[in-house]
Amino acid sequence: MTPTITVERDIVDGFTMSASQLLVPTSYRALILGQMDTLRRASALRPRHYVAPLQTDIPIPAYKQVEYQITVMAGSYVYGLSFAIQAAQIDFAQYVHIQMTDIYTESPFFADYVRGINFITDPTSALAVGYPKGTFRAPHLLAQPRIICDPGNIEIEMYNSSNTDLYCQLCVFVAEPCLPPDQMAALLRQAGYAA
Amino acid sequence: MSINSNPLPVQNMPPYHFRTYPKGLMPRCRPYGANLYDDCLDAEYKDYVRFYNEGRLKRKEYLSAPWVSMPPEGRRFRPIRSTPLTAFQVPGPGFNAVDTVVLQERVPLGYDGVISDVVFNYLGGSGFDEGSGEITWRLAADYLPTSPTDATGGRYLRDMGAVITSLGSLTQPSPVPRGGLRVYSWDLITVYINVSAAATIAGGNMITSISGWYWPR
Repeated sequence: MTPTITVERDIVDGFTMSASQLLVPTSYRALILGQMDTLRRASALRPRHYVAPLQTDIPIPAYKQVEYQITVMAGSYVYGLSFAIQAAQIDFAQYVHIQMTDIYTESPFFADYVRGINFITDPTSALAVGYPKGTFRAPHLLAQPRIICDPGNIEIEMYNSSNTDLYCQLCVFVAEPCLPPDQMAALLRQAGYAA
Repeated sequence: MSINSNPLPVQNMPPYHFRTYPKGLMPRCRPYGANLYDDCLDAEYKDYVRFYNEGRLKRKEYLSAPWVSMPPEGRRFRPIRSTPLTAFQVPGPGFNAVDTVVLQERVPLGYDGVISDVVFNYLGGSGFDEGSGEITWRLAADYLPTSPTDATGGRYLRDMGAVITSLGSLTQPSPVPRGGLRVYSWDLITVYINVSAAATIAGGNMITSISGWYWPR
């Protein structure tokens, strides 16, 4: 049998389609984008971005917390996070503690509550908290996209341990199937795949 | 206007007339068809569901949620501390107005836990008005000082970041609503007390206690 070589076109999407960014192929970001290859080439996904807290709950009061449960389509992937805080409060980013939990498996995204400072992606803010120039770009990509299964609920907790009301927001980047799993299976069958 | 109907040579067109993305890779709201990669993702989804149903992704199963009722493997905890008011005083009149650690309890490694009841009390003294802000109790986990002189840090537990009224007593602890406060392996549970500089209280002790249970995760 003659071996078949499938040549795929380069992916040109929001991650790479930029005249101002030079994608170094051995960088962390480029390697993660490689992990996302399947996700980026799939055609039946759409981007959804969820934020917490909502505008009505901003600021997070001193010593208080917000808890949210977001609902995504089963089969969605969380692939990135971005944390923003008012410029004047940038030093307080270390006092925001974030945890996300996949309700399906009851497993948290992080081993323990992680500080908001880790997900700062605004270049000016990142410089202000001491990160080297050019190391942070939005969004902060997870090392591997995280699949979310039915019922597709993600719990987000954000704690403010400072003595100041904080104006901040977390954005969760999700790649969501356009169709629920059963209809997706039908679409795949229609496309000639044994789903 | 499509690119083919433009009479200008391609090199003379303004940049925004160029298609800078390959056809078919634009994000869209409705699927126009599934491809091989959708099939891969679908297979992963099915594998994930199957693994979960086979119990490979689950943690140890309990008859009911272990943070709702203590499983047989659970271990109860109830540390009690008494701290004299002098611990918060500074030379001369007044108090230090600093978050002072009065109780610490480490969650055992490999166990998760829940705090079901708390006691934040001031006994034997005088002059304390509930809710006045003279005394503030804080209950935190993940104690992590941000500098050697910084006693604060860590994450305050739900609704326990600034409690300005006493809660419960040792004989009748105050239950935590909404299923208790969950803590996780190797968390350092810490209770702080902050007595404001201008507080008018005198004598007595701060009685602090937390109770709940741990279970193997």
